[in-house]
Amino acid sequence: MNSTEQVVHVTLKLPKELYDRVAYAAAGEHQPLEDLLSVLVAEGLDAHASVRELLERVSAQYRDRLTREGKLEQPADEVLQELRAMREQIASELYPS
Amino acid sequence: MNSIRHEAVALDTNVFVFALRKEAAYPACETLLFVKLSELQVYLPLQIFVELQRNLTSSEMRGVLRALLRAKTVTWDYVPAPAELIARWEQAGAKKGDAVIAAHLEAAKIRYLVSENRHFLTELPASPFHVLRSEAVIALLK
Repeated sequence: MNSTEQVVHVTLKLPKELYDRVAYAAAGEHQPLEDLLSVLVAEGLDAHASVRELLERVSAQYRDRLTREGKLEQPADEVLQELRAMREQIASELYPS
Repeated sequence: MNSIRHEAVALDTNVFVFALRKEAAYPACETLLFVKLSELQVYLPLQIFVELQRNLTSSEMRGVLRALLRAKTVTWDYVPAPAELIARWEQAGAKKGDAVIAAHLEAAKIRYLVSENRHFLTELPASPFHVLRSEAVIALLK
């Protein structure tokens, strides 16, 4: 979860069987139960969202991060150059010769 | 070339990045991904998957992967590209990274790569796939 996001506390009543399933999954993923519940609620909402809504949300998140990192105004040619350099680096890591 | 509606296409990392950045110099990337995705049969090779992982946080990556599930079809190819094909493309003049992409596409018999990287065309004159800009793909889908 983004640390700059506002958080609202809610009380949730779940059937015991559902709670047990979530608790089991959270333990398996080594994450707090409330974090997994938050992810599951978000994913449930995403199931009803359009592609555009899904990607607009990711884009907003990505652009916020780039703004914080001072990279949003980076010229497109520079971005392309960085991507090419990253491609070479990853290829060398995945396929050392 | 209208078979693009009926064949898998590989989307290069730069298409995802420019779309999510809403890059003004490449507006077609956003249109292709945000509006036309459901008309595409997407092929995502290991190299591009890892590049996306390096560029995005895990939460951003999850969002992109969830969106990709809304494509007409999506194929995740986690199998490393064949070494002999990488070597052949490097001998043909491609840089290693581009040789890996070319090898992935050749092995999977993918005929279209959507990329804003113009170097692909000059590096690989005899490639078995077409390199198309996002703008061209949108025109073909009309």
